[in-house]
Amino acid sequence: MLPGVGSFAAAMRWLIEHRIDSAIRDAVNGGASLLGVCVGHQLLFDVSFEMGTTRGLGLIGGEVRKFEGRLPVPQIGWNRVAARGPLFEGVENGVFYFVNSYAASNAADEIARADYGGPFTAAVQNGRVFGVQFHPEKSSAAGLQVLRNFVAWK
Amino acid sequence: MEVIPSLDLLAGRVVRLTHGDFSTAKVYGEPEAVLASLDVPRGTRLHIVDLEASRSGRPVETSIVERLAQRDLIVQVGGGIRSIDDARCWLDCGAERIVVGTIAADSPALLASLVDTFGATRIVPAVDIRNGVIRVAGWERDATTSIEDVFARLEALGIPEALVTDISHDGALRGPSFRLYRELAKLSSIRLIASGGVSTVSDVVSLARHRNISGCVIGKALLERRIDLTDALARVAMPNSIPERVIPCLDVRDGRVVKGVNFINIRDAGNPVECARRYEEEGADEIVILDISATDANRQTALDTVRRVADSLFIPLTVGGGIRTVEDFRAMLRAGADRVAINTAALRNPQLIADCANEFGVQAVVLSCDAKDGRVMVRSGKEEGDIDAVEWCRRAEALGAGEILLTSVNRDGTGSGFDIKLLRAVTSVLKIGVIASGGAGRLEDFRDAIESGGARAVLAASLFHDRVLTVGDVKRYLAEEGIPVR
Repeated sequence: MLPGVGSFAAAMRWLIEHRIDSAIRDAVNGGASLLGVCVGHQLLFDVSFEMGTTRGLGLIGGEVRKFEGRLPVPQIGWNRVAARGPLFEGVENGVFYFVNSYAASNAADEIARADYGGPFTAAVQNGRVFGVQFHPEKSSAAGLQVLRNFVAWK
Repeated sequence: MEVIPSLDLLAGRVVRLTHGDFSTAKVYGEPEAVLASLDVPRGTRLHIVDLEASRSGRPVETSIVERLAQRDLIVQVGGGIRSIDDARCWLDCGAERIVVGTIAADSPALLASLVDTFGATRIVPAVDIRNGVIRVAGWERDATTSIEDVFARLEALGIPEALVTDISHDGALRGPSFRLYRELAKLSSIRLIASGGVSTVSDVVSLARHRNISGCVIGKALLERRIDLTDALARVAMPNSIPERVIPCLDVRDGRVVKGVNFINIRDAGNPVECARRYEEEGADEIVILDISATDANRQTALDTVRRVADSLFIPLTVGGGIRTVEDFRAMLRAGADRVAINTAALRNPQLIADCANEFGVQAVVLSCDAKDGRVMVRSGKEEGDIDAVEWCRRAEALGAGEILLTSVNRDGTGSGFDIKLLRAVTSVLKIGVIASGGAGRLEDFRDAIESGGARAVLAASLFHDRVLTVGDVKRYLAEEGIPVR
């Protein structure tokens, strides 16, 4: 699990300082599954433009940018998600809780999409690597089902 | 839903009259200049009223309509149209459709021959209603026909859309007459263009949620810059996918829920953990805990309560009560709160809002504002401050509050409905969301707080605790009313 609340740059700096970035890559290469949550999800991407330009872990292709629509930023609250794939198996009501100002959009590995003044990527999967922009731990039954699916995924 | 800017023309210029009095005309300028200043996109439908024509009974501003139609705008025009010739004159100028008022209600034969001559899609009947009665001739008298009969007649003629104004709401700052549009939906399948009282972007969004409303005419609010047209168009184009929230509030004292919750089969109705979990099961979108006993002496008890609730809850938790410093705030977040509400301390030291927003992010900061008669109350509603509630909320937003929890002290505990006027006053000037609190008594109250009040969340305490309504009841009801819920 790669959780996260906070800024992309600070989180990435911390991962590098503690050599957790390479540990994550090694673990994934060695067959471990990974779930990034919120900023942890964003860290999986190639690059983020939050406070300058910061390279991410590069496990998922794409860029993380600030919301550009007319709705207040950050997005704080529930949003409906259109999703597919094993991570969302058995999720009856695809509404999840988000807190974010930045997001990827149109990611090649997108498995869920939501709209906040424009479409954005709500979840990704590349092999064993998963990321969710929302907070499953705050998304009641739907979020718990996603976590259950991740744990059960082989 | 189509957003239709409305321009009243007099002597070649865009004006607004007060109470229909020509001597009060406020001039906004040449139509083209006004349209440019409002950023009206090409292809927009305009609602044009020829005021002089409505007075004299003869089309006057024909050259303007001609110019506008040539500029790639779709024009519907009204004002004193009383004959086939009047109608033809406007349509020959390039108007797409004509708007007829008095004729629609009182001259069935003429209305039928207009439809025969020009086609049903080129006639827009304008129905002005006051207290359930259609008014005609510049609102001077009652129509001879009832609303039911007029709509039946329009339907028989195959007219697809009607412009409906609730006169009592026009210019009254109460918002559109959602109730009237709802009643008409039961009466007729004719699609409605809503007019009158539309004064915020939130009004536009709420109208768009009504399935029988196909358009909304906005005049004054655009000219007076209360609604930004580009903003309104963007909001209407967005998918209706962001749910509004229903939030039970637990008032806690010394670690116990005050006024126990009447759940069936609950072991301990005063236990905040059990209550919060039950509410989550019922579909609560968030829980608010207000510790009304919070003092330095029992801070550990409060933190312990938050910790225990947060540990067993899988929805966001907002906590308030006795937060005085950044360190108090931090302790609540560490204990598991997602957001922390500050109230009295922010009034004494507004910088606390900014400090907490900088330290923890705006998403964590909720300003709790208790308002009585439009003024801010301090110390849990016991003492009246000398600050205007709207001004205070506006300032809190500027300082970095992520949301406002707005409680009407006047309505709290009365069950007589949320204070829509207070909500509108606050939501119309803020970008951040407002949680409506105080006064919930019936299902309709929750709908009205969101639809008319512009609230993004609705909160209740004893109504849910006493099982008068359940969270599930409220969410099902809101969904039926076209308001998105989780």
